[in-house]
Amino acid sequence: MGFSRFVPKTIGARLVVAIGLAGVVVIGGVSFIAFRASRAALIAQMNAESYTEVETAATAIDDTVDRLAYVPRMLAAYQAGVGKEPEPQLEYIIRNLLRRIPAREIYGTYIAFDNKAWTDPHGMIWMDRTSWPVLRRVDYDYHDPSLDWYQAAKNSNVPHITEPYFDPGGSELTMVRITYPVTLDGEFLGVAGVETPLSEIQDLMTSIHNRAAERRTGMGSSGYIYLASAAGRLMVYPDATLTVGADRPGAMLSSLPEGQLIGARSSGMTKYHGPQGDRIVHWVVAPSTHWKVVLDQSSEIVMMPIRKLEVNTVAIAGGGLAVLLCLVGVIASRATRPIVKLERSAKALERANFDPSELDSMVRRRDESGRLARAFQSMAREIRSREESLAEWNRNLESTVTERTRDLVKAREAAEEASRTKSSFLANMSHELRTPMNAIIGYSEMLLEEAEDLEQEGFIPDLKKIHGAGKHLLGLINDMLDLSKIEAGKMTVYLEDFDISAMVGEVAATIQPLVAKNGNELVVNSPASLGKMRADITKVRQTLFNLLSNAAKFTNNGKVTLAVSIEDRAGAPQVFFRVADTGIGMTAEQMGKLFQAFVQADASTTRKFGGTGLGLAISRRFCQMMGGDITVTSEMGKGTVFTAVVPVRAVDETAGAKTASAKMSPAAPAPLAESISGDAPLILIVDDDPAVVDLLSRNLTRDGYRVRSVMDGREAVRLAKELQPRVITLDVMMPSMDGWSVLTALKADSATHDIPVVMVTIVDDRQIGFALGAADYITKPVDRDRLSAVLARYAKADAARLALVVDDLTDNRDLLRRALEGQGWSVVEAENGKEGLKRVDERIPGLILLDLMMPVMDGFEFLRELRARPGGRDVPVVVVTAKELSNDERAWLRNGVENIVQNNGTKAEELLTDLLSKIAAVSKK
Amino acid sequence: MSNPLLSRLRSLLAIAALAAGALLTADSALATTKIGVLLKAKGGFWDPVAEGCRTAAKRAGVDLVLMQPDYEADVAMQLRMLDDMMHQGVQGLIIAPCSTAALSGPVAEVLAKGTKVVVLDSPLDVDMPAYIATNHTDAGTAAGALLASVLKPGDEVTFLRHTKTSGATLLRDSSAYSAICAVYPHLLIHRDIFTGSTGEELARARLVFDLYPHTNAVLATGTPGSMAMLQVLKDTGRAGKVAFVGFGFDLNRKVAKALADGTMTGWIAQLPHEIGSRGIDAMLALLNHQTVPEVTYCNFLVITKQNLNDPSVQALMPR
Repeated sequence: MGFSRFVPKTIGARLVVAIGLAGVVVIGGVSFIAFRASRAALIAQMNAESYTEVETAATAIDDTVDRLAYVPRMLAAYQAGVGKEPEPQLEYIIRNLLRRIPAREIYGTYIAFDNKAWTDPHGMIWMDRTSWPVLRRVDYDYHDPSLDWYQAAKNSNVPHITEPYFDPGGSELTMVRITYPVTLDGEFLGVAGVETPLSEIQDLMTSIHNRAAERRTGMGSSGYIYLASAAGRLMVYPDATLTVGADRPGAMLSSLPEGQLIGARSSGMTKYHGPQGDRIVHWVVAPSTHWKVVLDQSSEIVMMPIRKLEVNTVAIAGGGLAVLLCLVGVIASRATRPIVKLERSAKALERANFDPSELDSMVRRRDESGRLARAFQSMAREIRSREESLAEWNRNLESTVTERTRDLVKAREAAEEASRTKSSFLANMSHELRTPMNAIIGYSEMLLEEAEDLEQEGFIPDLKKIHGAGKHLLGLINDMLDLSKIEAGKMTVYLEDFDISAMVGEVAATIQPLVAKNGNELVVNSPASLGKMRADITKVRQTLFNLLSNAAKFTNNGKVTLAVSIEDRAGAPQVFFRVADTGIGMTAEQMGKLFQAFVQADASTTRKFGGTGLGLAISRRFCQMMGGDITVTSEMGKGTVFTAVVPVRAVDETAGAKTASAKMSPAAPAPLAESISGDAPLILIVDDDPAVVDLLSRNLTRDGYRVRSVMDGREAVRLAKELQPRVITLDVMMPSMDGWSVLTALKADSATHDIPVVMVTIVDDRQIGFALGAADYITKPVDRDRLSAVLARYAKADAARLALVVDDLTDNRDLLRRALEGQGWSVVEAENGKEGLKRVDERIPGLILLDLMMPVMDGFEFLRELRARPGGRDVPVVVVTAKELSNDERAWLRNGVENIVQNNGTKAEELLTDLLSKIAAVSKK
Repeated sequence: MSNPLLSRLRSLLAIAALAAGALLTADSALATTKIGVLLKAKGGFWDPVAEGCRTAAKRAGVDLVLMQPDYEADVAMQLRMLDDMMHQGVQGLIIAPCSTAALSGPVAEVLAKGTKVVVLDSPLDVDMPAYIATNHTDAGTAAGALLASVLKPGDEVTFLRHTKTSGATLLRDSSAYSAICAVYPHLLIHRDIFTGSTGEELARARLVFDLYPHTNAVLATGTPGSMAMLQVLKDTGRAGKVAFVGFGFDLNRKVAKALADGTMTGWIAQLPHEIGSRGIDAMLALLNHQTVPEVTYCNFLVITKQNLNDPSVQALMPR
């Protein structure tokens, strides 16, 4: 809402406004000055005209009176010429005078003789219009001193004019007498006089006034003119009641508005406000008669020229301003037209449809707009040239990019090939390095056991050295391979739920001998209430082993403490594993190099304490991969505290390349192995390495299994179908047909579909293994205990652990099957309820995982049919469905199923975790 | 008192002789002369004027077109009559104008066309070739003188005036007043009662004695007032006890009887018949291109008990 809101937005409008404002100031100022001057002139003119009118009227009155005064002067002169006695011819003279002078000017005339009685027929020779053509006789004594017409004339030698009087003697007129003394040789003989009606003077004044008013205003009288006698009595006035009449004396001038002022001054101008509004009065005194001629006018009408002047001034100024604005508007429009045209051209140029010919009319002009247009055309040509160049560059760029992209693709392919080569190299190297180590360690262990069994005590120390050196070398190789995988981005994280205390107990039990070796005491502070955490248990365990072994390594006769706690950090609960020792400690410089690969705290450390220097770097990377970290505090000579932090719910920082199946790792306690009988479970070992086959066979035989082995993949498939082993151990890297192909073939064949396959391989690619349907994954060198535990889990499964998966989606069935097999279940599948019922009829399963939405027969119908069968009433059913269940459906299902797993878009990992926990619960029942 | 009457009679006879001579010398063309006479009104004073015109015209053997509005104030009618008359082709116009102002212009146009004009009774603002009227100043003076002749010092005189606007009666008033004052300068004279012309003449006449019961003499300057005063004098038993001079025209039996029994001291009689007759005479003279006085005063008679039976006076009695 600022002032800029009212600022015109276009140049033309601004020009109009600016010049308009300037025009208002200039034209307004000039008009005002001119108006003031004209107004003053008009007022002066009005006053002059008004004065002229009254002066004209006064002069005319004086002239009239003077002309009429000629009659008594003439009569007086005539009488004086003939003697003192009344001349007989007077009657004739007077009669003829009256015949020739209009009655409106002279009503009567007379000579009154001073030496005659008034009753004398010759005392006053008098004739008027009433008596004409005869004389009339006076009926009063004109010698009376109170009669001023006689006495005043008698006492002066100039014409005397009486006050107005009403004549009741026949004329019924208001008149004045003009009298003149009759003298002879200085002797007063009498008075000659005429009776003059004021109507003549009134007509004269009215005529003058009307002409003047017409001339002045052009619209007739704007007021009235009146006459007052020298004594101030109204003689002529518009309101006749104020003048002398038959029965009225006549008003005085002083009784009128401003009358006293008018009466006091010989001439002037004044204003007053009366019943008729504002009035302007001008007056003068007639020089001869001393009568006062007064002009009373309406101020409104008199000032009308000034009003017109105001209107005209405003109209002219306004009109001039309007014309100016129009002209400015036109000029502005013409001036800005080139700009507008250029603006349109600029927009056209922007849209790339500019036609230079549009400016042809402008470029021919010689003014600024012409130059601007030419410059614009030049610019447009330049832009077009640049656009063409740019387009050419773009075309070249595209081809360049295409070439570069092609090069990059090639480079990427080369890099990927190199990566694959590197991965292959690593895999091969792992295999090639670990394979002899398996032999060395495995055979040294066997030799140790046999030496002990055969009581060959002399071989035992050497065998232990061989076994220890082999394990050390294997550790070095494993560390090297782990670090390589980490740096190559090949290391994956397998998150699973596990009990923290149990895991810590296992680690403590495992590390106890190592700690005790240097006379150290292992103290473990791990509350049982810590519960479970979700992380890669292998990596957590490896990290703890590394930290504890380091603590034990650098501490002698001291104490190594493992304290476990759960604390919040960054808003999430974290598991803190603090490994403290009372060992040699480290300097700050040593700590700075601590987590660098291949670097130990001191060069002498390696010599003194051994190790690759990779352990801490790997452990820290493991923790970081799970969203945690390792920190260290140390004091030289007093000890060191390593703190490994892993989130209670770890996240896979390397997530993206993993599949859901990769997370399926055995979490639930494996079923305990049963006692071996004559028909011990058959284990089929598939591996191309005879040493491995030998070692596995010995171990498994020792564990009470029947063992068959095969070194070729194709043969393995055939044998599996033939022998129907309880479990198959499968190597990956085999000639002719690798383990992945064998696994795929086994799972694709219904005859071998349900046989658990445990991958035992140097290739650490659990993701692929589980994806293809492997039940478990063990990397070489084989941990014998782990192998035993895994096989026990699958080989000892019985009919009670037969699970039926009913789902119309193959992927879902595979997923569930693998999850169940991972828990030691044997699994049969059905793609709908009807098929499911057939499987139930064939063999009552110990568990049913049931989808609800299926063709042919849905889950609800299946449940009803199942519960209707004698053997199906007690089979626990876990519903696994993506269907949004209503409250009624959920209530109905509660009565017939053990649990419901809602697959509503959650991650497969979480789904399976939830599912397995519910399956475990069912198993406990 | 007898001399003026005799001199006027002689004047009449002389005029009559002149008229007769003129008729005798008139050529035959006059026989076809048509004269228009346009008077102020009908009745009263104007019928004798019309009769005088007819008599004179008949005597002269000219055709007469005589017109009279019903009322003296009917100026418009008189103007229409004037126009009508001029369309009838009169060679001469005798007019007694109802209004000086209204008739002056039209009559001037008549004059401009060469028509001869004689004006009776009231003047016009034109160059009148001949004007014939009664001399009211002399009549008033005669009335005043007559009344003064019967008064004595200490008497109380009351004027029963006609109207305030009647010029003729005003002239009579002032002249009579001046004449009385010339004889009795200090006589008490009342002049403030007017009869007017509203039909209240009798009441106004009675008012004279109501207001001024000591009135010894009365002068009535108008005919209605004079006749009303006669009645009042008889009604109030003042007949013969109060001197009374009245104004009128010609002579009627009531006046004659009042003069005879002394109820009326004198009767100032205008002679309307003579006015009409003189008008025709003046017109004939003009038509014959003879010199005519611009102003001709028409005589009046002062009739008293003494000359009542004179033949000339009796000739005024209606037949």
